Amino acid sequence: MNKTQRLTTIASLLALSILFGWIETILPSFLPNPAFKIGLSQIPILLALYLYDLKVSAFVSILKVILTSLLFGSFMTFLFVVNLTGALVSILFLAIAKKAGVTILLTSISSSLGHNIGQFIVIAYVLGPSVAGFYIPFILLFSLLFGTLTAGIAALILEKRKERQ
Amino acid sequence: MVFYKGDLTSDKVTISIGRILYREVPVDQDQIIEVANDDGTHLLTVLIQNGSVEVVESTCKDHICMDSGPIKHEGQTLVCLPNQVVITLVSTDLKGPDGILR
Repeated sequence: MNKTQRLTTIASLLALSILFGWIETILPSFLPNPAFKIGLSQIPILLALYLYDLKVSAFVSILKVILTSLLFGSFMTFLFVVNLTGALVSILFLAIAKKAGVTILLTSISSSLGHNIGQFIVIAYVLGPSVAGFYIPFILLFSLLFGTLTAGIAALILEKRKERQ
Repeated sequence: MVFYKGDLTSDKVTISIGRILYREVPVDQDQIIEVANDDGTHLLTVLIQNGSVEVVESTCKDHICMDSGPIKHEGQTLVCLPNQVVITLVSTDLKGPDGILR
């Protein structure tokens, strides 16, 4: 893959992750609490990890949070800090999964889990642990469920891509 | 949220901003509470009616706090992350043990 191809692919992945994140906020929630999200924007981030490396994946993930906050006016607010910490812990979990060399399914679940853990550390710190504690069973359940879903979609895309090459 | 300790009806509503308690009111008294922060900026409006609590208006953009309600069981919460407001249904008679086996 040449330099231009690489640049445009990464840019597309970033744009897609922002778009997916936005779509999730406008769709009516079918979950017990509308604060829970499927995490569709994790698909391009997973693809970045498997098509390139952890660095590119982290770049897409962090820039997604910053650009989304700039687009919707939450830059430097509490919500921004929550989302950024989620992204950072998620990257940490991705790095561990990558080092351990586990499957895309486990990588995706741990990334999803990392995202939630990061967010809830900030929430528990600012709003008190009782608020976060209430959601812990749901975090675990939904991380498993939606981590599997996003891994499935990402794996499908990677497979189709391989067939074409 | 459908996750609560038993089918307990609560008798108190606590509203906090950050970790600081803003207001504590009985749930059986219908009322409207305007929540504002220290410098008087309006954040959101809470409605208590027929033992259930909901956020009817908020200055936040995502409105997750409004979509999460109404709540009526002990332990349930309404959280507005952008405004850092937490509304919890608590029960005063839960201070002791849940049950004693003899």
